[in-house]
Amino acid sequence: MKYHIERDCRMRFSVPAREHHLQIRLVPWHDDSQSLIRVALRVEPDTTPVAAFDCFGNLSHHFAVLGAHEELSFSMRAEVQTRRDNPFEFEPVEPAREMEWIAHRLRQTPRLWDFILHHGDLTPTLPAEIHGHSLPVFHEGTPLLRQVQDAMHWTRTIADYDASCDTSVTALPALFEARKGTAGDLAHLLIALVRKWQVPARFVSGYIDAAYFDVDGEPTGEHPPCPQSIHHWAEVLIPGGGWVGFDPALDLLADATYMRVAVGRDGKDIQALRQNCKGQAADIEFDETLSVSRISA
Amino acid sequence: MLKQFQSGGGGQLLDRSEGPVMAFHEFYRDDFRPREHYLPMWEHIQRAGQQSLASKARDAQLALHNEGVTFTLYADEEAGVERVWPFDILPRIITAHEWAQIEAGLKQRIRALNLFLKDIYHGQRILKDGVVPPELIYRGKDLCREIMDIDPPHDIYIHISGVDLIRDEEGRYLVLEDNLRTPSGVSYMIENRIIERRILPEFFSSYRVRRVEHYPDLLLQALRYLSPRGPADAVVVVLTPGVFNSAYFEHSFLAREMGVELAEGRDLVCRNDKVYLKTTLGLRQVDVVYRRVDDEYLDPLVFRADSVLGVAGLINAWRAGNVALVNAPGTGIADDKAVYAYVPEIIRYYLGETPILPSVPTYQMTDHQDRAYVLDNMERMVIKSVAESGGYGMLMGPASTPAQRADFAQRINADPRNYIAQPVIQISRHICYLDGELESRHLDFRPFCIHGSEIDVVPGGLTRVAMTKGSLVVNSSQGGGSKDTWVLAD
Repeated sequence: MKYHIERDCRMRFSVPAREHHLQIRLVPWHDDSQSLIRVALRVEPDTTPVAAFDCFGNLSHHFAVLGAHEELSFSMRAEVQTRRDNPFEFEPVEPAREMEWIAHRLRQTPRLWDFILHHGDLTPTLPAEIHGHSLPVFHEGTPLLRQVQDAMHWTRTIADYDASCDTSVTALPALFEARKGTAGDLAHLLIALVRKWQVPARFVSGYIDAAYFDVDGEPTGEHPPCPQSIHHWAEVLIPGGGWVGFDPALDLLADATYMRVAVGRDGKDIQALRQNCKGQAADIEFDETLSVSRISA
Repeated sequence: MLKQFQSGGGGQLLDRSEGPVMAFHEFYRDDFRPREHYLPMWEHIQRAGQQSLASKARDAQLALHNEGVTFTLYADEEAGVERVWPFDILPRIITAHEWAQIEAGLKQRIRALNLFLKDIYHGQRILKDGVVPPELIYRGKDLCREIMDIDPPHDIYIHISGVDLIRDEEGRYLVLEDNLRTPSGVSYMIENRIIERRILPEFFSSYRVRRVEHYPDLLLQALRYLSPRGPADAVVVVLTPGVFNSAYFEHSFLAREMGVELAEGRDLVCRNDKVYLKTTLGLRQVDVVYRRVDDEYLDPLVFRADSVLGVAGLINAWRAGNVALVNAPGTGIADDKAVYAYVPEIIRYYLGETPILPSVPTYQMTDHQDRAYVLDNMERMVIKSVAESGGYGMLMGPASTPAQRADFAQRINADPRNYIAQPVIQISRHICYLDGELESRHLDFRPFCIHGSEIDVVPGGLTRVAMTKGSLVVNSSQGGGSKDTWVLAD
C-alpha cells in the first residue's frame, strides 16, 4: 500500500529561547518491508536538518537555531510504500530448531543481544505472576509465532488498551496497578515477557493507517474523528520471518498498514524529539498534528 | 574461574595456599640493605642526616602550598574543600631495564585495547568469534550505543591513558586497572618533579633521571595531530566541568602549560556540525576538544538531557568529522573491570602476541562457580564495582566488617555483572619520610601514555602511596599520597 504522511510540530516559548538544538525521529524506515519514496523536512526559522542513522538503524535529523526565537516549527511530508500484506507469509523454521536459529543469529549479529538483555524500568524482569495470572512459559517445539500471539492476548488479561490515554507509564509496574495503559505500555509488557524467553524483542514507534482512528460508523458531533497519533507496537525476531510486528493494543500482527519509524530496546531509546536550549522560558507550548492517508492499495 | 586465571597472561602468580606472603620492598633487599640503584640516595641521606630531610619536607610542603597544587576530596567530611597535594620527598626509582618492560607492555596493551574499541563499535568480530562473550559487553554500563559506527580521527579512541600498575610479592609488575576515560594525575607527576628538582638537586646529580616535564608538549603535539583541519593551525581547548571538579587544578594546569583555552560547556557552541569557542572577537572554530567531562554529561542532546556541563551537538560534530574528541566517548567499555579479565585474550586476538604485562587474576561474579567461591572467601578478596574508579564502590576484604561483607554479598547477588573480585595482593612497599621517621608504605604506579601519531609512554608517572600504615588503598580520592618517580636512563 502507498501512504502519504504529514506531521507538523510547533513549539512556543513564553520567553525567547536561543542556542536551540533539536534531534527528531519522524521519518519512516526504508527497508525490505517498506520503501520511503520521498520525504521533505522543513524548519522555521529556516535551517537545514542533517540526517544520521543511530545504532538501531533509525534515521534521525538534527538542526539548531542559535538566535533568539519565541516560536519554532518543523514539518515532515513523506510517501511510503508498504509491502508486508500478510505477516504470516514466510518460510517457517521447524519448531524444534527455532531456538537454534535464534542462537545462530545472535552469533552472527551480536547487536541483537541488546534486545534480549536490556531490562530497564519499562521492560523489567517480570515476576512469576501478575494479578494472579501466571506468566506464559515458553514451550520448545511449539511455533514461536503462535506463542507470541498467545502472549499478546495474555497482555490484555493484565491491562486494557486505553486509546484516550496519551501518557505512558514511566515504569512498567505502574501499568499493573492501573490495569490499563497506552499502546506503548502494552508493547513494553509483551517485550519484557518475550525477553524472559531469551528471544529478541524490540520496541517500535510508527504510523498506522488512518482507518484505525475512525470511530465506528459516521463521525458525528458527539463522536468526532479521533486525532491521529504516533502508534507503538513490539517486534519479535521470528525464525524464518525476521522481525515480525505484534500490536497488543489492537490485538493484531503488523501488516502493510503499519509503517515503522524507529526501533529500540524500549521507548526511551527512540524519543521522537530531543532538544536542548538556553533561555529562561518556564512554559513551552507544544502542538503536534499527524495525518496518514492511503494513496493506493 | 580457572579459565580466568589461566588467561591472566605473562606467567603464574604466587601460590597463596601456604599462608600470607610478604610484600615486595622496592627499597630494601631481603637482607635489609638498600637495593643497588638506591645506594647513592641512601648514602646521601646517611651523610646529610635525617634532619636535612625534615627541612626538605617542610620546604616541599611550603612550595606545594604556595604554588596552589591541590586536590579535592569528595568523600571527606569537608567535601569539596581543596587540600594541598600530599607528597613524600623520597623518590621511587625504576631502572632502565624495568622501564623497558613497562613501556613495551603498556604500548602493547593500548594498541590492543584501541583495536578492541574500534571493533566493538563497528563489526564486533571479537564477539562473533566468541573470544569475549557478547553478554559481557551488552550488559556493560559503559557500552556507548550512541557512538556505534562513528569513525574517530585516525581510528584512535584511547589518546590518553593512565594504566595502574602494582608489583606483586615477587616484585613483578602487574596491570591492576586500565584507566582509559579521563585519567587524572599527570599534572601531579609534573609538579612532583618540579618540587623534587628544587628541593633535592643533590640527588639528581647522583642519577641520570629521564625527564617528564615535556608531557604537555607531547600532549599538544598529539592533540594537534588529530585536528581534522590539519595540525598547523589547530585550535585546541581543554573542556572542564568547572571549579568544583576534584581535578580542576589539573585541567587548568594542562591548559596553561599547553597554551590553549580552558573552556566550560557554556563557552562552546555547535553550529552546522562544527564546534566554536565564544570569544570577544566572535566565534572561533575548534578542532580538538580535550574533554575532562564524563561521557554521560558530554552532550545533552545525546546523553543525559539534564547535563549543563557538556555541549549540545558535540557528538554530531564528531560524527561529521569536524572535531576530535579526546578521549573518544565510549572508551569506558574497554576499562570495565569485568572486561579487564579478557585483556590478555584481547591482546592475543588482535596482535597475535603474548601479553608482556600480566594482569591480576579476576573472578567474574556472573560465573556461578566464581561467585560461590568469592562469597565464601570475601575476607580474602578485593571486590570492586566494575564501572567505578578512584577507590569508590570497593570492598577491601581483610579490612572489612561482617556487616560490610553482608552488604556487598547482597549487592553482588542483586547485580552480578556489576562486580568482580580479585585476591588481595600485598602490593609493594617503599620507604617514606613521614613525621620525622622513615616508614614503609604500600604504593602503586600510574604511568601515562599518549596516543597521537604513535604511542608515547612518558618515562615516569604518578606513584601513589597509602598514607596509613598497612593500608593497601592508595587512591588519591581516598586520601592517598604521592612520590616522584624516577626512571633512569641506560
